[in-house]
Amino acid sequence: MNKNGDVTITNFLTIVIAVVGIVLLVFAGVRIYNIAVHQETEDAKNLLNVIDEKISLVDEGVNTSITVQGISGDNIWYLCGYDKSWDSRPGKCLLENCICICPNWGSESCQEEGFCRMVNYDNVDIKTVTSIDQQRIVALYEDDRYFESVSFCVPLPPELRELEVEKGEDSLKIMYYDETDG
Amino acid sequence: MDKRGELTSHQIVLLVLAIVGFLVVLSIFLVFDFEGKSSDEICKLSVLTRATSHDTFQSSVPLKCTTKKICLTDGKGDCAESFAGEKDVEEIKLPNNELEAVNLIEEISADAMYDCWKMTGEGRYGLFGDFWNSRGLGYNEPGCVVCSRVAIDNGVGDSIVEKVDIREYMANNEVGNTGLTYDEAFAGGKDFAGYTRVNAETFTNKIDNADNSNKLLGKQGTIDYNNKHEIAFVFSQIDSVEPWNAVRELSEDGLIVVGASFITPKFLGGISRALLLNKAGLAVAVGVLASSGINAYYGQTLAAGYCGNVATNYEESKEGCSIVQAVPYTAENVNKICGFIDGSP
Repeated sequence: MNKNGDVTITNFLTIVIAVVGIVLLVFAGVRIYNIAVHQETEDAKNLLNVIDEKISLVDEGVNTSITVQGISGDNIWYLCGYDKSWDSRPGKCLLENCICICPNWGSESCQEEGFCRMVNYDNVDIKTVTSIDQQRIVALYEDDRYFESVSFCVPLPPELRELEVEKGEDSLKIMYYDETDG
Repeated sequence: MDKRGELTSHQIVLLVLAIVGFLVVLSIFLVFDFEGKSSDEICKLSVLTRATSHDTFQSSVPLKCTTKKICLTDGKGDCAESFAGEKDVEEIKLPNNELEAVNLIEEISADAMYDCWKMTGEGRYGLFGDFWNSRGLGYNEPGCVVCSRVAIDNGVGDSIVEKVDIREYMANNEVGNTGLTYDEAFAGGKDFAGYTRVNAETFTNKIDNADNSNKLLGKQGTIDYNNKHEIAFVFSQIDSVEPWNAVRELSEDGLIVVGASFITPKFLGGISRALLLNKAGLAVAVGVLASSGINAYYGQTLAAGYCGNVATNYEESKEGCSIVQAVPYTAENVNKICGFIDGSP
């Protein structure tokens, strides 16, 4: 005779099927959530991983170019390098030399919202070299020798960027040559 | 008389059904590539979500499309020159038989182009409505998605690569089980068969001798072949139908045009060309003559497109032009046809 509260075989099966269904739904929901949100941040983190990996595969003493795709989203992200010559480095670098990818220019942005990788080079130099039309600066300078502007960090807007990588025994140099009219 | 604890036949059937059902679901998860399929489905869903969002908010709706990376190899190489350091690279070993290898390269390339077109809504969804204005910029250039990158490992012989003719493959082979050739599928149906094939030589001459002052087919630089044996299938779109006027001008002896869709013919001479959408019309970037088997692979101009009404959230219809095309994967080439790139690399 079944007493109230007894779990019958039918009830048990129903419970098992319900639990399996809920587990599958939660699993699918978590997977979709992880893919669907935080895409910009994920892309930034992945890009730093790719750049770090590609740099490690570059031979020393050989000038190599690598092509990377910038990050689509609300921010223009920057690739920056910090060595001991910098007064203010992101705390994430833990007083070591590092390369970082950050949603804005500056070590504060790298510290708060960026991602950094420690690197084993004494000198880390990441720069953008912009060609400037000599006609535009002749009024500012007496001669026209100066034709380039150099800025630290490389912006990574949502387009392809070709970066020149040069590795030495204790140095890492990454340059982006901006051919658009500065 | 039923004793306590005895199972009835009904309960046994229920139990067996529950166990079998669980095993079926488990096997589905283990056997099917949900990772790959879910990425495609998520991309399509995000395309639809963005297209039906208000124009002002379109740029805020993320496009969840990740570039596929495909390495075609002889089994020894891994396309390190192209994909070193990158994740989720699909390696496909080519058959030892040369003809089969050629066929496989053609099939994979044609599928990559077609999948790109399908995933992005076949050009019929407006995807980049307010990108520039939302950033306070006045100009408007094509938005792009790099759907896939196909690389051929250095170890694959030139004798295989120089036989690849993707354009011919698309004209003569069906897409999956659709019953349509790739050409017909791009054109939107069987009606394609009724349109005259172009005189490729005439079209080639027309493109190469275009009058720049008309901004009809102004050349805008060159397409560079890279040394990494890699092409990208890129979807680009602009919210202007000016390019369509150029397309229609060409249809008399140029592009294959069906309704509002078009597809490039087979160009002669192994010179790669890319179509550039701009507000004034359509421009063409031209490559140099292919000098080797691998460059002949790049020399196959592949482009298909649609110009006309695009679906948005507005009550009034919007117009736009979209193209999916193959282009050698370099920063210079892709940036030439794209004002900005959306999606994940």
